[in-house]
Amino acid sequence: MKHEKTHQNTPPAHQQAGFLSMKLLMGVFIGILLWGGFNWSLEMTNTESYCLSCHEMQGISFDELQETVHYSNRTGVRASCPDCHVPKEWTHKVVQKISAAIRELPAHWSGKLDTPEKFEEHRLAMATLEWNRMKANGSRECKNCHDSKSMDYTKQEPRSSARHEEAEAEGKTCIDCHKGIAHHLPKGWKEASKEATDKK
Amino acid sequence: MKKILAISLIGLLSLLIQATAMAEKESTENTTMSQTESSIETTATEESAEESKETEATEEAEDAEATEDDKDQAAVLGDSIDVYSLRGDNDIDAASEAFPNHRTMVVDGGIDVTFGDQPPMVPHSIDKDRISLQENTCLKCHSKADSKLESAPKPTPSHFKGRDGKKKSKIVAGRYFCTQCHTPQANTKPLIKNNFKD
Repeated sequence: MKHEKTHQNTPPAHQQAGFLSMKLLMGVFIGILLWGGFNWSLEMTNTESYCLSCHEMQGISFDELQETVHYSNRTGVRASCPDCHVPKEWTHKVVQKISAAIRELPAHWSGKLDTPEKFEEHRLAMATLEWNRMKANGSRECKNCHDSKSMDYTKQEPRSSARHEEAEAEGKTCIDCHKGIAHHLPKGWKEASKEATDKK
Repeated sequence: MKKILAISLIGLLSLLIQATAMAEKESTENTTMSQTESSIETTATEESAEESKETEATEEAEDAEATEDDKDQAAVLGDSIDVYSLRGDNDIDAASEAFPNHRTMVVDGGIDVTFGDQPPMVPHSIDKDRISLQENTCLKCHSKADSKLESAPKPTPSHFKGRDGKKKSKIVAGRYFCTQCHTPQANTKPLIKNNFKD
């Protein structure tokens, strides 16, 4: 009886191996689906068209960007929203994405910035947030394109090259001087920008 | 006196003849255009070529006859012949001609002023600068506080004098819009001769 029972419960060896490999295949398939889906959605939410799907971005931020050299220039190379506002490295990217989800989505749903007046009211706070982030990471997002190793000081205007060399010697980063290059500066930017620059 | 009168008469007559010829040509051009739309371009170019030849010929003849008398003629007719608006002689509903693209002059050390009270000209590009209620990016370097660090000229005391004649701590509103007086320059050929001397 005993012998029969065990025989009934455990399938033959070749059936067992088949079941295991099926399980493995399923796991791999689901893994690919989940991981791929995660990365795909990460990429989908990292495009300019996604940023511009909220009207807060369409009216003011994007209009202002279009006036600047980061959108329209001699060579036709341009920066899109995530090039500056989302880090390229995976871990930093995920951290930024989560903090944005916590901070920006409720603001969008509650209509914190849904008029130009409200936007202007919060502009200084928003700008300071970005200045501090850039300052803390050594203007990492600027350096994705602007590499100091590839920057030829002899090809710059004398004024620019002198100031760049000074800044490098003092250990400054891009954002210390280049504020308000892609969007307009908020009212009271001068005092606030000094504060952000002096922050260690 | 008689000679002058005769010459001016000839001049007037040649002008009239030219004007009638032009009008005729225009009318014929219009009819041909309405007739065959497909061959507009070829006929138009041919006609314009012919026209230009003829007008050149008549103009030359006219010039030979009436060069001395141009001024008198203009006075008599009450209109001048070679006057165009700044946008050239193209039609009002046509697009204006594109200006040649000139780069902003970059002069290290600044551009010298030509007279005592001249607002100094901007010796660099200001394409990226914005002046609005919220911001004045010129003052990133040209403010009193930053001018030394950026080795940029700072605004003179006159910029801080209010309408009441009293000194203010900030640049007064009337002087806030820098580009009203200070403008960048491009290395271009002057439109007219300038004999200004200080």
